[in-house]
Amino acid sequence: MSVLASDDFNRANENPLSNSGKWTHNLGGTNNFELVSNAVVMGNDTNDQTAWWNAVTWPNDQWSQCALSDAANYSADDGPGVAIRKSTVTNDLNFYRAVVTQNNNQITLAKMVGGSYTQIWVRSISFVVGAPVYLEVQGTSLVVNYNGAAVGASTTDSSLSSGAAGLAYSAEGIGSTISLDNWQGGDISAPATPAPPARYRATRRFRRIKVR
Amino acid sequence: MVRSIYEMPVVRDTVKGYQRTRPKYDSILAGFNRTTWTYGDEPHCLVGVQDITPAADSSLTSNADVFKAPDNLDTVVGTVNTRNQLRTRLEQDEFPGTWIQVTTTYREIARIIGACCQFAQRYMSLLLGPWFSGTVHVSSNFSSLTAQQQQGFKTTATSFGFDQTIIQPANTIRDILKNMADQYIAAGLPLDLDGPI
Repeated sequence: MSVLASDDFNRANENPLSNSGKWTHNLGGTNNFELVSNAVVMGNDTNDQTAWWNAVTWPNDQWSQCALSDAANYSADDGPGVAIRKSTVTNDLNFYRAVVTQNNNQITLAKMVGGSYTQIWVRSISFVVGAPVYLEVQGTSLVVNYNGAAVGASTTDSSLSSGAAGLAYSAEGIGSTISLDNWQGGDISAPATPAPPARYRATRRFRRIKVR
Repeated sequence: MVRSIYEMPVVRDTVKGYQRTRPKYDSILAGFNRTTWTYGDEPHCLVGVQDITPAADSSLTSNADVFKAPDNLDTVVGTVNTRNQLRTRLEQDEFPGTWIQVTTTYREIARIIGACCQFAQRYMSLLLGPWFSGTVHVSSNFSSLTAQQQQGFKTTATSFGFDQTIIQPANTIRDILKNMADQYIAAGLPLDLDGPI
């Protein structure tokens, strides 16, 4: 397993999140990921969003990981997280995502196939500020880790076979807030193992935003 | 932990502008760790549930459109009557069913259904829309599908690396799906639904 891309988000604010054009947002409009005070926030909690790292060629077997410091006030199915096998066609709704719901202490693994959404599973976690959520796919096996530990058994899904890794957001629509940091994505050239935790420096980066 | 497997219909609605697909009795399953395998764009799914309570299990199985596999998947079908009920049930839900024998285990049945789900999922990512509608059923000849759907089958088989000798117009969709499922299993591809089946 190796890291193909990473972003620590430590730079000047960006709206939308860009890193010199390396991030592509799937849906246009106002609900873009933004970079504020060295962390990623969501500008407008109205619609779902994904963003993928476009500066590498992604292998089919891939992983995506990001630290979460704030995923509060979401219902099950909603919240921030990571995406894999995201179609690199803009506005094309094909991806797997794992999103974290802080107040419910849950992770939801879901897929979007041709714009049709299906929740694959919901599992319990204990939310820890700054802990990373990790999603990988190898062949047809999906694995989710949270805070360095596997969240249940692997799951088979054969829908999507290729795409890019990046960030995911499932909107609540009530002005909920998120804070993401230290994203990494990579390939899987060896049997799946949990990624090392990229612990979050909460005291420096924890931040809420006002919803416009 | 005990994993229970149910086959049931899905329901679809629109949320945030998207079509959402979920098990028909998802409200009963809320609060349990569960995994869903959709059958592509067909209106059925397999659900694996961890440590479901007897009350919730009863709520599910009291519905005529829910089928539960025995918790011990290595149980054999056992009787001709049960075999016939299973065949009828699966074929009503457009899964291959006529292959089931009295000596077949529920694990074998769950694996074939699961592999059919995997094949249908891959097909759906290539070509949206159900196979079965109107007069087209799992018992219909492959030629009953549109030319686009037939090509979608072949493209799906290619994506898995499956032999396509069986994919002929005069063969039934049932026989082709069963063959695809057999090849999925023979290839050692995973079937993890809250644990392997």
